[in-house]
Parts: sequence; C-alpha cells; structure tokens
Amino acid sequence: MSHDVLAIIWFAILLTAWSVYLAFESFVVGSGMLQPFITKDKDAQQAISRPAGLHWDGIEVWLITAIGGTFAAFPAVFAKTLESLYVAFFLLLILLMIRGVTIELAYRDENPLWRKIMTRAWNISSLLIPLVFGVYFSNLFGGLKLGANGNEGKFFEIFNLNSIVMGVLFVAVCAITGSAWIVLTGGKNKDAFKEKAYGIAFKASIVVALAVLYEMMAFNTGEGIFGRSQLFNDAPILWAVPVLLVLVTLANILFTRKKSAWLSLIFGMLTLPLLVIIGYLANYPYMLPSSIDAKFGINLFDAASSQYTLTVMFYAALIFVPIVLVYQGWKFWYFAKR
Amino acid sequence: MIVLLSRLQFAFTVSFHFLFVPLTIGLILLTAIFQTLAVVKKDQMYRRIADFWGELFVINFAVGIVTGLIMPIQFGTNWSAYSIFMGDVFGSPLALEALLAFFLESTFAGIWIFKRHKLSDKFRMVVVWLITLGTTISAIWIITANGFMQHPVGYEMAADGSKVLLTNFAEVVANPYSLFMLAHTLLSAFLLGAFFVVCVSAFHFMKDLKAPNAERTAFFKKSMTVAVIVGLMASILIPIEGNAYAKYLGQNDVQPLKGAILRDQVDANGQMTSGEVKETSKEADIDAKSEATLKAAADNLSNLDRKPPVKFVYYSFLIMQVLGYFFLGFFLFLLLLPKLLQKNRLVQKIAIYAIPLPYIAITLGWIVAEVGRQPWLVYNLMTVEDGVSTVAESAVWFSLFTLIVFYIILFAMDLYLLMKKARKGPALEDKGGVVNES
Repeated sequence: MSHDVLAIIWFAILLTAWSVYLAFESFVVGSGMLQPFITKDKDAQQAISRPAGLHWDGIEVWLITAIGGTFAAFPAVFAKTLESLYVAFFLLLILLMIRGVTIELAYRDENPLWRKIMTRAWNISSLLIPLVFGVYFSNLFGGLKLGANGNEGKFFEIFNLNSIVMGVLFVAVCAITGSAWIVLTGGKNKDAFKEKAYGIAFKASIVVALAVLYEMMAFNTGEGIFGRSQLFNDAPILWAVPVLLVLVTLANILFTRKKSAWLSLIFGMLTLPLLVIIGYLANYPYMLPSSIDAKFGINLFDAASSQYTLTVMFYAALIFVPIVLVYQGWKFWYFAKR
Repeated sequence: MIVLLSRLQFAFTVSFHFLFVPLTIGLILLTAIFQTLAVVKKDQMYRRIADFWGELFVINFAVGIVTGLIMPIQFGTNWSAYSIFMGDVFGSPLALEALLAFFLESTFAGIWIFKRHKLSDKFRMVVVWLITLGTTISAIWIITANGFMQHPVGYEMAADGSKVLLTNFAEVVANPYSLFMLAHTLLSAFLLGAFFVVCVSAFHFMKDLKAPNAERTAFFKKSMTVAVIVGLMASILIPIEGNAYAKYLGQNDVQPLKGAILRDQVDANGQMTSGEVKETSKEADIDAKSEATLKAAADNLSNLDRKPPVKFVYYSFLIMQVLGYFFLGFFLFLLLLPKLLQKNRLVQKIAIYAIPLPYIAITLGWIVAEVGRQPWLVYNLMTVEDGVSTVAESAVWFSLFTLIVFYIILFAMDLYLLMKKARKGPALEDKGGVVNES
C-alpha cells in the first residue's frame, strides 16, 4: 500500500477509536452525572455505580488507544495538539483521574463520609468530562490559533459560544444514553428508575436537537468548517453524514418520548461519533487545522509516520482490534443478564 | 527553567506512578497463584486468601491506573519536540501497550473488582491470570519504549536529520537493553509483591500472639509460604541477572559512562579514571556508521557542560545492591526459620517496618537508569534540553502544582485504605464481619 493510502487508513482507524470511545463513554459518564437525580436511596445509587464501575476502565482504554494511535501514526499531530492545549488537557486529565479513582474506591470503605465524598466527586467529574470534550472538539474543528511561531491562542480563548454550546451538546447526549443505561442495568430497581430517567432523557434530547441545529448553522457560514471544507465541496455525497446526524437527533426525541430504553441508547450512542466524524471530514486533510492560515495547520499526509511504521501498526490493529472487540462484547453480553 | 520544571514534573509523576506499578504486578501474580491453588487443592481458604490479597491489589491498581493515564499524554504536552523527533519509533510501543495490554487488564480487572464474589473458582482463576498477563505485557511494551531511549536500535535518521525512522521493528523489540531491563523490572516487582505479603502477614502473626486464632494463623501461614518461595526465587535471580545487566550496559557501544559510574571509575567531573577499555559486545561487528555515531557521541559528550551527577548515581546503585542482598537474606532466613516470623515479636517488627525498603530499592534502580544516562533523552541522539515543548512557563507551574496537590490527596487516600484493609485482615469465620460487600 502506498504511504498516502496507509495514512488515510490510519486516519480512519483513529476516527473509529474516537467513535467507539465517545459512544461508550457517553453512558458511563451519563450514569455518573445523573445518579443523584435518579434516586436518593443509597443502595439504589450503588446499583447505578456498579455497572459503570464494571465497564468504565475497559472503555477508557479506547481513549488511550486513540491518543496513543495518534502518537504512533501522526506524531506531529499528537505533539502539537497536546502542546497547544496544554492547560485544557491537564484539566481533562485531572477530571479523568478523579472519575477513575472515585468509581473504583467509593465502595472499598464502609465509612459513610468516605462514600459520600467519593460519590459526589464521581458525579461532578462525570458531568465535567463531556463538557470539556465538547469544548475541546469545538476548538479543534474550528482550528487552533496556529501561526508561524506555533500556538498563539490563550487558554481562556477556548471558551466561546460555539464551544460552550458544543460542551452542552455533549453533556446532553450523555444524559440520554446515561438514562437508558441506568434503566437497562437497573435490575430490581428498574421500575423505580424509569420515570425520572425517561423524563431527563426526553428533555436532554430536545437540548441536543437545538444544539445540533445551532452547530450545523455555525459550521455552515463562510468561516465555518463546512464553508471552507475542501472535501464537502469536492464530494457532495458527504452531506449525507450531517443529514444522518439530524435524523439521529430526531430519533433521539422520538425514542426517549416513546420510552424505549434500547433504541434511545443505540441512537444516543450514534450522536457523538457522527458529530466528530463530520468535524474531522470537514477539515480533511488537516488533522490539526489553523484558524489563522490554513498553511500553518498540520495535514495528515505530512504528519504521518513512515510507511514501515504505518504498515507494522496496521497489521497489529488488524489482528488485535477485533480480538478486543470480541472480549469486550462478550463482557457486556455476559454481565447484562447478571 | 521550562526544562527544569518539565523534568521535575516528569520525574515526580513517573516516580509516583511507579510506586503503584510494581505492587500491582507482584500482587496480581500472587493472587493468581492463590486462586489457582483454590482450584487445584479444592481448598476454600485459598479462595479467601486470593480475595484478601486481591482486594489490596484493587486499591493499589486503581491509583496505578489513573496515574498511568497521564504518562503518555505528557510526551505531547511537555515533550513535544521529543515526540516529533521520536514518534515514528516511540509511538508504536505505546499504542501496542494500549491495544495488547491495557484492554486486557482493564477489561478483566473490572470483572475482578466488581463481580468476583459471584464467580466460580475456575472462572476467577481465568480472570486473574488474564489480568496478570495484561500487566506483564504492559511492562514489555513500556520497557521496549524506554529501552530504545537507553540504547537506540532498529532505526535510521531521516534524510534531513529532523527525526528518527523505524527500520526494523523486530530489532526494537529484541533490543538486549530492553530485555535486561524487563527481566530486572519484573523480578523486582515479584519480589516487592512477595515482600509485601510477608510483611503484612507478620502484622497478623503479631496480632495472633495477643489473641490466638487458629484460622488466622493458618490463613497467613499459607499466604506466607507461597510468598517466601516467590520472593526467594526473585531475590536469587535479581543479583545474577543484575550483574549481567550491569556488565552489558558498561560496554563501549552501549552506555560506557554509566557502566564506569557503576564500577566507581568516574571522578566528579565525569572523566573516566580507569584507562582500561571494556570489551565491546559479542556481536562486535560495529559498522562504520555506528562507529561514527559513537565518535560523534563522545565528542558531543565532552562538549556538553552537563554530565550525570556521578556520585548520586553511584550511591543509588550501591544502596540498591545492598538492599538486594538484604532481601535475599531475608527470604532465605524465612525459608529456613519460618516459625520466627510467626512467634518472634522482634522479627515481626523488623518485617513490618521494612515494608518501604523494596520501594526504595526500585526507585533507586530507576534513578540509576534515568539519571545515569543524562544529559541524553535518547542516548546519543537527543539531549533532554532539545526535547522540551514550547509552552508558557506559567502553564508548567500550573500543571506541576496541581499535580502535586492532587497526588498528595491520592497518596493519602491510598495509604488510608490500604492500611485499613491490611490491618483489618480477612473475615474470620468465628468472629463474623465482612471484608467487603462487592
């Protein structure tokens, strides 16, 4: 395979890793942030924590894979993204660390104060993680202020209307899938959870629809990512993806209204991956676009590792990604009925 | 200043992370052995033994996992020049670590943490061995990455000199430096796990002296027996392997300066005092290219004003060695006179207060490995100064300060839980009480 083809394949593999991560993480953080709103009962709250605890770690590895894969396949993209968004990434890391350690350790001690602090920290970090991810992707897709001397943006500039709406969108999607997941894994608490969960999910689906509408309009201005997109101009068939996103958003409203847990989980899980795929495709071939001048952005062909490295890693991914999917799938299936 | 802050942050985060890693690797192996004994001997006490040590593993694992997450990210945030220079070679082992190791250990650790009380003995045995496999594979890849930084192989420079390119993946994986390091790291982790089990057992034998309990005695006797065997095997192998490792790295085409420091043949100015040239490696067919790099490296080094802190590295190595022989003596003593740990208060006290020792030995070992190759970030290819990111100094102050505060909290949490659980011991049938309810 030629170097360019391998680079595109790696671009697709990384999009897949991000998609799997965001789809599955959405219900883990979703159930974390909704837990105190669904029930006040301590035992029932534990019933919400446990399924999240069982799966969160295996899911978070998809994030590490997406980031590690970027390092291996596009080192310059990895380095420049993290360097440019230094403070934001450390905030995200701290939140991810708090989430991980609190969910693992909350029930390792009987002390009620310990449990209370751990659970609260789990709830709050679960709310903030998707918010930060939304702000991150919005900034990434809009382009960083990369100039001749590297990043010229300041930390607080990452917060603007577009990025905050995107953050809210991410949180609301997680509320949809989180509610569905809480109901599906509720066991004997299922009926007690249902009413509140479906209420939250429906409201969240309206928020998602409005936020998606806003973002699509913002994307579609002359300065927006559709406006300057090379790929969307060259291949109009790609407009099918944003259309699909709108349809999924409507399906979210429909299925949360109809109180169908499985369907609102599945369609909810599709939302964030579609959004992120649109963002990456619209910026193609730039993986790290510059909002100052396109030429300062980093495109995937220039950033790609050597043909040899990409080939070795391609075969490794070809063998091991399916294996991982099989045993993680088995785990969901096996513990779904227990 | 940026360089100093970034180094401090990396040293701090990696040392902190590595307080948890070896116990994770060591305890999960012992837990796997206990759970296997439960299946083979059909003895339910071994299931409870696996539960007790497996619970201590969980607490430790949780902190290890979250402090590990930050490590790969820091290559981008704080060492972006390094990442661009090295990404073609260095990114792959990290990505493979996630793909082959992290998925395995985290997927199955979740089952162990939240579902183990509901599973059959055989199922549990499979789960624990899969976690053990995952942690071991993880060590292989991260040490492959570190081994390249210590002794680059299987690469070539890009035509414009801007980065290194991978040319032979098998050579990177079979890098002798990495293999020596890997064996040393795994063995010391097994030793630490075994030492930990013995010392916590000593605490419970001490309790037994005050309030004898036959069940507790049996529980910790069984724990201790396995741990002493594992610990003794590790502590015999470590000096043998370590000796070969030190000989290897002192060769002229590996890290002659570090080797000379370990032999105490370097003065404070970084000049080798011994005139004798160590033999080069067995495969001494150094081609013209590597001979040229070697010469360039020697020139480079003599021009650099920063040398490794010679005495610091030497004494770290010396103390580590002394501790190594202490561990060997300790396990040998317990193999011959196990009764003393069960009955003698003084021996018990020594064991309890000795818990930090293997941690100290391991940290000193890493100081030798990492400080001993200064000023190189990638040996002979890139200095630490050249690898750092272009970020604002205030940003690094912010991250360093935040991490220190956060890690102190994490450490306190871990210590609180670990000590509470370790002291409480297993639930004894004649006393009731539940270790945990998950």
